Amino acid sequence: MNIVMLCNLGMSTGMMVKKLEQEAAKRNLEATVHAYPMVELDEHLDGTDAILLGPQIRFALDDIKNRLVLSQSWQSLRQDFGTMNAAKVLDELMKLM
Amino acid sequence: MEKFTAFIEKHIAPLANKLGRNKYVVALQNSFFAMIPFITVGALALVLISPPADYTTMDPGVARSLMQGWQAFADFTGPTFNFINMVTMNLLAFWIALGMGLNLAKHHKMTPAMPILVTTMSFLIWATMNPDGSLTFDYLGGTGLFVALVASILSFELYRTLTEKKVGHIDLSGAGVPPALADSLGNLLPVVIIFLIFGVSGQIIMSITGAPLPELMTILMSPLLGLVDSIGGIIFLAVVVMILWWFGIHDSVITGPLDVFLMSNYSANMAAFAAGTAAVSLPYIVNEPFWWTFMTIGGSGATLGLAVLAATSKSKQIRTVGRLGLIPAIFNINEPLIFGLPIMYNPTLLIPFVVAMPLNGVITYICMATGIVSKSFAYGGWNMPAPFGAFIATLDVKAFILAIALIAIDALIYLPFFKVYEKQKLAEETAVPTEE
Repeated sequence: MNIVMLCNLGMSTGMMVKKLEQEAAKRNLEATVHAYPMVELDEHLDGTDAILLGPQIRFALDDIKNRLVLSQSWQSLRQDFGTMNAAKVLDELMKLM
Repeated sequence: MEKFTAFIEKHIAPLANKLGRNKYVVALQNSFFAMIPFITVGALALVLISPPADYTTMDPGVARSLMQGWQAFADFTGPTFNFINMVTMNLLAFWIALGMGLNLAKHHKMTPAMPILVTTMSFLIWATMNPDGSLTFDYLGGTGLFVALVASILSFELYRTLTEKKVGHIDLSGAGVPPALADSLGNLLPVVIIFLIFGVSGQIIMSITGAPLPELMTILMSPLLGLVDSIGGIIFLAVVVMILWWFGIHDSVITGPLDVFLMSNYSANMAAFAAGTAAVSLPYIVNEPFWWTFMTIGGSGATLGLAVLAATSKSKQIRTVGRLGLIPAIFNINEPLIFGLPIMYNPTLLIPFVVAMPLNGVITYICMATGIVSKSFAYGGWNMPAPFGAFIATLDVKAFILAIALIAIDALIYLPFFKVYEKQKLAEETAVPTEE
């Protein structure tokens, strides 16, 4: 499973990358996680299974909705994003997959 | 409050979306984003050859020896480092024109080679024309930024329209011509049309005004530049940015376009400093480092002080977020605090969140306007911890102290509101026993 996380510069979501990877490893899930700046989205669409948008750029959701298998803004999970609660985020993600 | 929140989510957020996702704003942001490492290298090159004190006027001692050594290093490396600084900063508009061509082409899924050349050359036609017929290179830096934007957007859209409509298209497909050549040869006529438009319009404006076109642009933009470079301007901009962030919306919709003004002022200051102007008497106060180093301490909302408060809180929940958010906050990233504490939609923290950053701006503005602290001319990047960034920006130890004072002031502004929030959380935590 290839997960891409996006925010304005890929910085704040970048902090989440390792946490999500560790959480996935803990559950024996094969997952790669990357964080990119929003503007680089197009370059990373190939082979991506899920896109997570940082809540601060949730307004971009409409733009990417039609372009991929699964995309989700963390609007409802924003506090879990803030507290870097990878377990909860992965739970929600697996529900959608 | 509920109504206001609903109104913003329904009307303002989609508007911010539209503006923030506007292809020109995104292309501009992307171009600046790509330039960040080079702008930083240019700034550091200048800082390295600018000892903050003149050793010949100092008393003997470690400080004097240090400055003397620095001066010797500066004398030796100066010419080289100066070139590095000039190629990054004195050609900034040139690089942005190039970046705009690339990013707009990417947006429209076009092969970028031709658009890049079209936007860059169109900009050069406008920016290098001198009334005496020679080329001038005076407007390829910060002073040419607005020309670069207008020229690259106009020329790109012209090129896109002309090629899409196949105006003057020479069809070379099927003639065994390589695709790259077919693209450049086939679109010869659109390029001729665009260059004629730019050449003639530049010439006409120059003959009317008697000065190169960028001069006119500078006159047109100067009221706006003046507005940005004022106490009222920074208060207004910072308050709007902070209200957006309180709704958890990224500030790029404001700071994207604002960056052009900040960069323009910044490069003017840097050029003046490189030309020998003292740091206290540089032309502008509000510029790139002013906003990102002195105002945005710990992230938008000046939350570094708050991060310290949170990390030492009595509430377990707040403390957890605070400890998680403290290190990123030192490097001016505060999403963990905004979403985790949370600050977003949190009425208790609204007032300090909106007030702290403009206040930092006002205090810094006054310090710089009165000459207490040097004005900034070197940008260490927005991730640089504030006191160090402030020192690099000004080469003034007082700026370092100012940044530390601002962190303390911000913490004090947050403190009473934070205490109220902490009390709320503590009440929740004692009411509902946690799982441990």
